[in-house]
Amino acid sequence: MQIVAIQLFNGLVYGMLLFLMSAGLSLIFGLMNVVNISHGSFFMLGAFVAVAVAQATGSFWVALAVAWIPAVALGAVVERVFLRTLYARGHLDQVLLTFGFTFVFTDLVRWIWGPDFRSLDVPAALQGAVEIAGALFPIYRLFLVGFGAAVALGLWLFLDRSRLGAMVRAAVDDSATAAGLGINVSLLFAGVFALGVGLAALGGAVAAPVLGVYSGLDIDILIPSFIVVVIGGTGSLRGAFIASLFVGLIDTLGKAYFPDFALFVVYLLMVVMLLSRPHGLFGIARA
Amino acid sequence: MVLRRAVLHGVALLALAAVPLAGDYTAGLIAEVLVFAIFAMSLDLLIGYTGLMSFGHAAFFGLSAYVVTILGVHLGWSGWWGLPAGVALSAAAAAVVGYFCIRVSGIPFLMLTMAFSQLFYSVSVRWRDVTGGTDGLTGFERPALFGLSLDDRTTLYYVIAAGFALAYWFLRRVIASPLGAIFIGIRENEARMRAVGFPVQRFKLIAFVIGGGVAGFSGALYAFFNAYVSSEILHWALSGDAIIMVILGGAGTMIGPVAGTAIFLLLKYFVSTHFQYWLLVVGGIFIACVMFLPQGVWGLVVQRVAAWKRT
Repeated sequence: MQIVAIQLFNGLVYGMLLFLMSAGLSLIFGLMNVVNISHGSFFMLGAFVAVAVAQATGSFWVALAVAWIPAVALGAVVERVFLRTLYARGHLDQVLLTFGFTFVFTDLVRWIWGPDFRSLDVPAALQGAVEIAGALFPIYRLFLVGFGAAVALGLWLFLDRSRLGAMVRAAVDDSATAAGLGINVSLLFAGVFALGVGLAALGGAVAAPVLGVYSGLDIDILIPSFIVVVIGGTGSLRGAFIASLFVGLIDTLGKAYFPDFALFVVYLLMVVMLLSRPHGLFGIARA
Repeated sequence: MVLRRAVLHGVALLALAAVPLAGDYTAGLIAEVLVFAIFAMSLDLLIGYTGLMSFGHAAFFGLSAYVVTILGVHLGWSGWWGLPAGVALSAAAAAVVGYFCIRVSGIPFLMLTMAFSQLFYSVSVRWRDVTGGTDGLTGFERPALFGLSLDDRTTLYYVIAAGFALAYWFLRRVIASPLGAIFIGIRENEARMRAVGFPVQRFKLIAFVIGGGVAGFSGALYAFFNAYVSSEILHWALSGDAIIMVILGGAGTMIGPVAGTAIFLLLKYFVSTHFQYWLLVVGGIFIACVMFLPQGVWGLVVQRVAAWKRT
């Protein structure tokens, strides 16, 4: 029983990390109709920056506090300087552009930090484990679950309760009408893009002690996030959240109980979803 | 027009035939370009002609290369049996993957093809007993043709060049056929094709299977060329390389992917000897190409020639 509880818990942790990736991915997709293929690169960038800052300052918390800054800055540049010039063209050109950036970021990271595997130590305050009903839960992982839940709550409050969030939702539904009502959709695009990649970088930073930090982390996190977005439905924060936890749980349980078939379990889930609801749990069919 | 085209093709064939005169090194380089050019052309059938943005095309290339090598190493099959087996399995895999992926279009399609291809990669990494994992699988013996072993670089080159000519001819025929016209119709306006009464989904799947099969053909030739496979050839990066080749050269043209492959591979060899982080350079060039030259290098040539003719 304890083992099952631990596995469920680990699935929850992985699901929260996936959510930090897929929330931005899904929002950007919903708003701009662009899948940011370089989203995983920002996750990786956040992880590397966090390690570098933690080494320089000796503090995990400082690292966490600043790890998102380079990603947001780079994301704003990518959107303002590059993506924006292509809005008049098809969405696929914009996707190709983000794809080109994955190559650039991969080698930039390798150039700056080298190809070696790095790790980030759990801060002293979060070391150890607590015993709940006979099972040991690492404190850092409990922190991750709380962190993910807090980000989800914050995002929900922002989107659902704030004026800016209402603008974003309006633009997701119908950007042309939103623009007609005087909303600066172009600036909104930049803001959401920067927010999305910032969340990814933050995800990379908090994930660093669990997933490790290495060149290739970008694709390892990108693919499951894609699956989350497909299952959850694009542009839906609720879909991204539920699908993240779902995929996290299924993947972790699959690895624990069917190690030989673990790879296929998540894909099977995705296939079932495609056959029954091609637009995902909370997706809307778009023309 | 027809005559001039025939002359051009004749010249191209002669040039291909004359390549071994330039020495083993050049012939080897061009053989590699030709193998990947087939791969890029097969992707162009999807991206350029049918409008299917596939981001996981390496799955079919790699699967076939593995089939040829595994059958050769583990079961002692000749590559000449491995080749059709590889093509058939790649086409079958494309049918299965395509069956699911064509349920969505546009960007979800792109994400799904990418996710499925990553599944192939993960299997090749995990299934070490058969695939050799990341260490790869060595010991493949190249087959012989009329008593001439493909270990001989010149024979190998001619086999690959003939394969290239065959694939080029085949894809040209497909695109010029009524089937090709349907593919282009789907690219141009899917809703209208559906309204006219074409079962668009079925034709998308047909395009995907043909593309997968031809990619399998190039993968099999790669196994002949390299006599060694590792999970690298199933990695997402190779799907990405193929997209760059197609876009750089010019999607929706026959020559474009070939030109793009040549540019890409020459760039790779040239830059990587001087600068370790060549992906940075290639990524930068690709970004510039998407922004300022979306029709690709060959597309630009075609445009300029057309403009010159009008004046």
